[in-house]
Amino acid sequence: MSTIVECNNLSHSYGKSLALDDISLRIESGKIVGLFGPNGSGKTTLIKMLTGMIHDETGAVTICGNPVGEKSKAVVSYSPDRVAYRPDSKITGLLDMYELMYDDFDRNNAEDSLKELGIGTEEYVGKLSKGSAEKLQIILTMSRKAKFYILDEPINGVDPVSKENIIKIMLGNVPDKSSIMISTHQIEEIEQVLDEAIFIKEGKIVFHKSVDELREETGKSLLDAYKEEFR
Amino acid sequence: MNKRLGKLEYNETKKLFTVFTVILVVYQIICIILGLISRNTSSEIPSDTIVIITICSALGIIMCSIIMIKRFYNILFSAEGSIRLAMPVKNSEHQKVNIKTALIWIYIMFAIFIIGIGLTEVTSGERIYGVANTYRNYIESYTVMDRLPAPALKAVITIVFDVLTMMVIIATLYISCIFAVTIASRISGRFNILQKNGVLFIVVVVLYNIKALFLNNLYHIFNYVVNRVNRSPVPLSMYAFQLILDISCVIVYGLSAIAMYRIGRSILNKKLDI
Repeated sequence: MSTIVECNNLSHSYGKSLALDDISLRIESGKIVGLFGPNGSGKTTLIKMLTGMIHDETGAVTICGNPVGEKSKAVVSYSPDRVAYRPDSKITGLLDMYELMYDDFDRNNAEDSLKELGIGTEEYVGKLSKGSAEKLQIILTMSRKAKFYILDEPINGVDPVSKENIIKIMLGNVPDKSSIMISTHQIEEIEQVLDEAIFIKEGKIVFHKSVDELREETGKSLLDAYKEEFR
Repeated sequence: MNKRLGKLEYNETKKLFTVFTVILVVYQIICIILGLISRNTSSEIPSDTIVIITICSALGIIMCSIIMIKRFYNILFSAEGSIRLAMPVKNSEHQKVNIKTALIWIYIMFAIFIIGIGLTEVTSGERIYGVANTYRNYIESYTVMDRLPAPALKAVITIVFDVLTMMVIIATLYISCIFAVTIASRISGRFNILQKNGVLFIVVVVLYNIKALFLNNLYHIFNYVVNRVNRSPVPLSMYAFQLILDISCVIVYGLSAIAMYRIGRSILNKKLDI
């Protein structure tokens, strides 16, 4: 089992406001990790640091042994919290983009998944419903054979059937030794698939444990543990 | 430059810009035909139409530049940036690729525009911007006023430097817009300012004023030097004057473009908050 993500003493501020406060974290290969915390706790800031959108001089982040940069971005597949494609983008254009920029993108898999969900490749992103657009984004993200997947709010604001579909897509295509980090508020929807959970509060990690361990030690569900921590 | 990113930028812009370029070519052909017509008629309609088409062509080129700037703006200011900045390239590659692709398209369109104006001047017999007679005017100046040897060669050299100067000025104008977007993004991210477009507006105004002040003073310095030289026993020839002006513009604009590009690159690679 190798280490996919390692963060040491990571801090970041927006002006005078400290978003991440001395975070140290390690995620091993083959794990599905949930990242939970209230709004403004630092989840998105941490994700932005892992994806290379923010650089910070304080602390160190490595992904598969590489500092965040071109090499790490090549092995990280990221789905942001909002649909990030322009409304005038054609789905086939997005498939071309992913195929061009990522060697590990499996176009056939993406097209099959889109077909299964009834999303035509000649359609424009702007014409899709919210649920379909979210599914599109997840399909494109998960159709890469990446080492680390980061999904920010993948099931936020979609109907229950779409949620099921998205979770199925999330787990269906993941290579064995790859890890997934899922940031969401929908704990009860996602708890069953998680190996580990991280709680982040005011920029600090207050909890990082295996979900099975939590249940064995305390008899509580992840949702109960979350409520207890953040009440 | 990352080849894949360059190819992606080209693929995503080629459809729209090819259409614009074809429209521009059609516009210039219409102007050339109208030029011929205007020679054989006393009506003002053909020449007025040429003016309108010329203005539309110029606006079209400016609009294409704005579209390219908006593409870069979307990377730094919108949700699309989440996907683009997560691509396996350095963040500054997006700037490099955008500038290169934009300038190639702008130069192609500008060349079509200028050649179109020149040919329209030939067919209409009218001096619109003096493009068609540039070469002849330079030769006349160098032969009659300066009495220089090889005036034809010197005219060609001057035109080459004029074209180079124009290309550098266009590049600097475009790079300064990209630089403004980068600086505005950095400032609004660093201080967590939500009114990002307001910050962009202020940055553009400040940058424009700095450039205007700087270039205005430079122009006065240049004039002063030239006047001093012209009072000397051997005054500057038109040819030398033109070359010095062109080379000075290339150096000044070129250096400012390089500086803005490099500062923008540093910002994107080291400290960029969205």
